[in-house]
Amino acid sequence: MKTLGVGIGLRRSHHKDFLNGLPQVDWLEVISENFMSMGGHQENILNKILENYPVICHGVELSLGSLDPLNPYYLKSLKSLIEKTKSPWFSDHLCFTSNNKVHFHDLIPTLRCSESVDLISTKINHIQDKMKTPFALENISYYVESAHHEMSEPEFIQQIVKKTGCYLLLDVNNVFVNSFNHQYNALEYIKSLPLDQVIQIHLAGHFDRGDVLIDTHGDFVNQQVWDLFSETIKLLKRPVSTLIEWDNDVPEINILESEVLKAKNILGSIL
Amino acid sequence: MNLNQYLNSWENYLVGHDNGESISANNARGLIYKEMVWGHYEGTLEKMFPRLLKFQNFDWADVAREYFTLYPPTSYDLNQLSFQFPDFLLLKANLEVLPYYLYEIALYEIAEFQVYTSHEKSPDGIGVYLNPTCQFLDLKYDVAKMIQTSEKSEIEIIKKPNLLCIARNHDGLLKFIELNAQALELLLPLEDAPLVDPIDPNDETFKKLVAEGIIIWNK
Ligand SMILES: [Fe+2]
Repeated sequence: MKTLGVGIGLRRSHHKDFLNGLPQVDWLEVISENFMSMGGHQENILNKILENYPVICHGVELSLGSLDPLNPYYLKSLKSLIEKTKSPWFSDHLCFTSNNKVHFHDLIPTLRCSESVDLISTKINHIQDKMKTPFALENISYYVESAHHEMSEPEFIQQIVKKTGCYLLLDVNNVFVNSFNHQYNALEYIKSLPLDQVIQIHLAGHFDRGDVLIDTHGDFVNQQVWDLFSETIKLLKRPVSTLIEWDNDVPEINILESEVLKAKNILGSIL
Repeated sequence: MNLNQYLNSWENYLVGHDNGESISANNARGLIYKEMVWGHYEGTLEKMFPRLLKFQNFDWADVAREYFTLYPPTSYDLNQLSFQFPDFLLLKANLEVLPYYLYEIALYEIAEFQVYTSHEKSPDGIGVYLNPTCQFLDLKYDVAKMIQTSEKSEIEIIKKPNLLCIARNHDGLLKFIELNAQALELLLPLEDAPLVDPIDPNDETFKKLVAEGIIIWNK
């Protein structure tokens, strides 16, 4: 799969920048749900961006870990968006966002057990088949560790990848945040993932509350996360499409451009 | 604990009355999730109904609790979670807990959102069309005027039955027009099918509806 370089997540406050100019980013990630259900201005901005940038669809509502079945209307709408954007792959998270049809609109960590492996793998196989586009699974940040897990997260991911052949969207900030919150070694964690499957990387800022790191996506990428990104690229020994996520207290576009440049420099210095 | 029990305990903790003990979430960390989830629920109401607050001093946290208990958040689309909020306000109005006009203001705000984000495209064939983004509101209060006045920080409650039409024009701008009998006469046949030519292109009402983008006339 062709690497796209370094991009950013498209956010509303930057719409004007993309309508009036060509910010220095290689590609854009769009939150699928924001474009699946809204036309008008949303559609205009997407059309404008598609003239100039590759776009990847990144969803938050597949709810892979939920026992609720996949929503066929959701899949239909997602498929149209993937076709429209020509997204070379699309992604969503290793979590559940709904139960008994109640939607939480947040990424809740699922139970790492063999039943989940089967459930999630069946869903991924179904959506890969339906979408005719490769799928990438993202590791989430989580704050609560259940006493009922049957396996570690890397083992859980390994098993799902084995059953589906899906790609991974490795969120390096999430690994860092989790490694602090649950006291494990971040690099060891990354080493134990099926790294050949990593098709994309997420980088983002977090907030240090003292007792816990919170994955806020509301700040510059932390230096330790940049270091972990460098180590990850050294392990991968290849360029990977990388994306800066900034969702809260979103700054001016030039700040995002400088974060993109920083990631590009790191990639350039290692490879 | 099997997967089903695990997922149910999360649901009971996040939106029910469980204390989170069963998912090891009965601590400050579990609370992060509860706050995030309810933050999304409250936030979607707050964003969808910015004008309501000018007419009623809502505490969104309390309102969201009551609303989502009656109307569970069952859509993957965050915006859609607020679409039943007018029904909730009507329920309150019927119980005489809240004034009826709040229901109409909420209806108006949702219509505005739906028109603005409608996937409908402007027809490009030759003919006379009803703008496909149009929504009609049959109101007891002059909500459009009340909202306009409230923007100048003046609250005026104007009881005046009216039929309001909201549409997104060619430039993506929202247009509001109060429909009179003549306008209705022109619009109703267009709801069924477009016309090849206008009945009377010089008719003042027709010209106004075209200028406002409620009728699309492609020559
Ligand atoms: Fe991420």
